[in-house]
Amino acid sequence: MIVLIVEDLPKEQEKAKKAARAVGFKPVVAGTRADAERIAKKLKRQICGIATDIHFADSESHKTNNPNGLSVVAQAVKGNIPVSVCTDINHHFCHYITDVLNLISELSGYQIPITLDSKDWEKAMKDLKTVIETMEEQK
Amino acid sequence: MKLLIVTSSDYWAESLARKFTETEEDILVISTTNEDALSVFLVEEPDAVLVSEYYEDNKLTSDSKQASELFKDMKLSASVEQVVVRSGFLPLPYNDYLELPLLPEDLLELINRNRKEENEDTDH
Repeated sequence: MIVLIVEDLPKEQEKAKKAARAVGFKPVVAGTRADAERIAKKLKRQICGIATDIHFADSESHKTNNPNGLSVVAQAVKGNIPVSVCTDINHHFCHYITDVLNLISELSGYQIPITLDSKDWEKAMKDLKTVIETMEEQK
Repeated sequence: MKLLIVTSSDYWAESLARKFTETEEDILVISTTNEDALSVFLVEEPDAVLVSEYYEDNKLTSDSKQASELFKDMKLSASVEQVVVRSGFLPLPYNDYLELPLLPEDLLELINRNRKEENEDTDH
């Protein structure tokens, strides 16, 4: 099972890959929104799920850290791909993210697991696996 | 060792792979073109990868752009046990780079050196 990890920080990328392999995923990593989009187009239906951070650059030429993870989540839901969010944003001050994610989840009927406060990739990958299995059962 | 060779054409891939079947090393060589390389890399989980025809230029052709993107994707996605190296026609100053034409023994030496360096980085 190939999963796409979208994360810009090298240390977190390593943690995410380790956590992905621990639950049996084969990880492919993108550091920007543009790279995530390019890889998703290239691998198409081979990608079984996506685990994404929220704040990272749009591309290597536009390096400002914006909440590009919201775009990744929206594209995943549009493409019917299970997605899990893993970020270290303080849960008290992130309504601009949680409200949007909860609304996408509500409108689409998609379960979108969110890990806040610290990047707990092990939890994010386990949650993603559960969502993938649940969606498979519902097919 | 399972070695994945990535090139822009089937002919070039086979030609490079043939060089390794003539060596005495215990190597299983898989070759693929740029288009399918990421998928093959993820499915086959090779011990080492050579991304050939690597360029750095503002006027990238589609093949060379694909090669540099593939190198980045594979390098980011590789496990600590996997080594990803590159080669091309220009002299570039990287520890993981070989200028073409390459000899199998030079590539194996490059892979072994990079595996050692990556293990040392992981230990620290």
